[in-house]
Amino acid sequence: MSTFATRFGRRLHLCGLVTLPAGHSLDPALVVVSIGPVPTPGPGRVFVSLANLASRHGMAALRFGVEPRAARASDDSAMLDILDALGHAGELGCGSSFVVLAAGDVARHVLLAAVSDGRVSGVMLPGEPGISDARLPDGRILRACSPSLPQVPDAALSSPVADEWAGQCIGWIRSNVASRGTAVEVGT
Amino acid sequence: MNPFFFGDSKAPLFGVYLAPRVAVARDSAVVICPATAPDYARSVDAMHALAQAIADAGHHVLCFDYHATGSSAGEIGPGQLLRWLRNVDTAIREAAALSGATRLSVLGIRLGGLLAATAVSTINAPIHRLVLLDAVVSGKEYVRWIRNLRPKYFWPLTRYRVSAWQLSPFGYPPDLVSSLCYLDLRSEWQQFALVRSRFVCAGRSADQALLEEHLGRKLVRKAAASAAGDFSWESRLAANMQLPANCVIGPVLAALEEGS
Repeated sequence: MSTFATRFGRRLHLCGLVTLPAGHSLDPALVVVSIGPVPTPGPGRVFVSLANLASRHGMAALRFGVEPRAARASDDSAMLDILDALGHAGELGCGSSFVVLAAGDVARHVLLAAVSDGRVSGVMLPGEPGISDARLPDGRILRACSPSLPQVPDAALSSPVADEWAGQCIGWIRSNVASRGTAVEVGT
Repeated sequence: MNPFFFGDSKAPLFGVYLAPRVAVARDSAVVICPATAPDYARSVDAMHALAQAIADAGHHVLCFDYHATGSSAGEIGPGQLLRWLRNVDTAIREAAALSGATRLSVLGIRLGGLLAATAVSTINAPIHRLVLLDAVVSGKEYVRWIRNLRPKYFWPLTRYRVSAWQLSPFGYPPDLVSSLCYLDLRSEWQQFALVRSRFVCAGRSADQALLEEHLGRKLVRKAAASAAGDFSWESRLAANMQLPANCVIGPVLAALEEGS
């Protein structure tokens, strides 16, 4: 298991941390989107636990932070950042399909990115059950999510709480993505 | 901005290095010792804005996360405080090597200030200036405050069958808590570090009063009044408030560059 830092994005303005498993990466890779600060993926220790656990299950993980809402150039910039992250994870060989986990106010942007990028096979929006059937701007309804996952714990240090939450996320991926092929469905 | 890992390869520290703006580059590097939970999340945006402002003013800057916090590797465990103090030393050495600067300064935020002062006092690093931003003065008082934070405010932890300390909002193990209680900026052995220290007070906290009582009001440099008026580190209700960066940039830069 190894973790390295990487920069990407249209202006190389994003910083991501990639955790690779000891062996070959298995699909899907995990992309964790948190809300800034942009130089780091965010203060939550839970995402470190999640990346490490994913690695132990053979999945690569890229975690990064998008700019806080007030700092975003436009409403689309968060979605573009997420698409950039997916592209970068692909370039790094993390995997050929992705499960995206979003924390904070970027849930809608993640869903839009999932529709735009055909490689997204699952979306986790912990603690956002209201978004499980999200209506997109064009009227379609996206059924993609994980309403049963609890919200991201505010664990700033490593702890059993963070580890247990990470275990629930990996379990959800195992049972909802790996076995069913895709968790993203677009209906009307 | 260059994110990277450094230090012990078994438990590397995560750092972000910011090169100085070329036009005003100085022979100076600043290591930023961040706050820890629960203050970390409230100050991390301001910390990075500060880091950028300091780099724009011509200083090399290194921000880093302590062992087992933020994006650095490791798990919280025995001897944690000693690890954190060593991390400060490691970061200072890394900044010196990265920048080649001969004038090294440390900016410590909240508990990071107390850790930085302690580390500088114990390792006798050749520090030019120590700037303490809303530094925690008494580790004992800080621990008391953390203990009073209600877990339910942050995360419903009660369903977990784990040790009591793991149910605390931030999972400080007992030996870390007890060792933190021994740290105090007012202790005699800290005076070596305090001689080279400058203080910036932005948010309201009990630490500010302790500091003024110990050093005298004149020695405590006040930041912009707007920050002191509406920001308190100790309000439970203010846990989602952010330390406003714009009002501390000026005083922090002035403290760093005083006499240069």
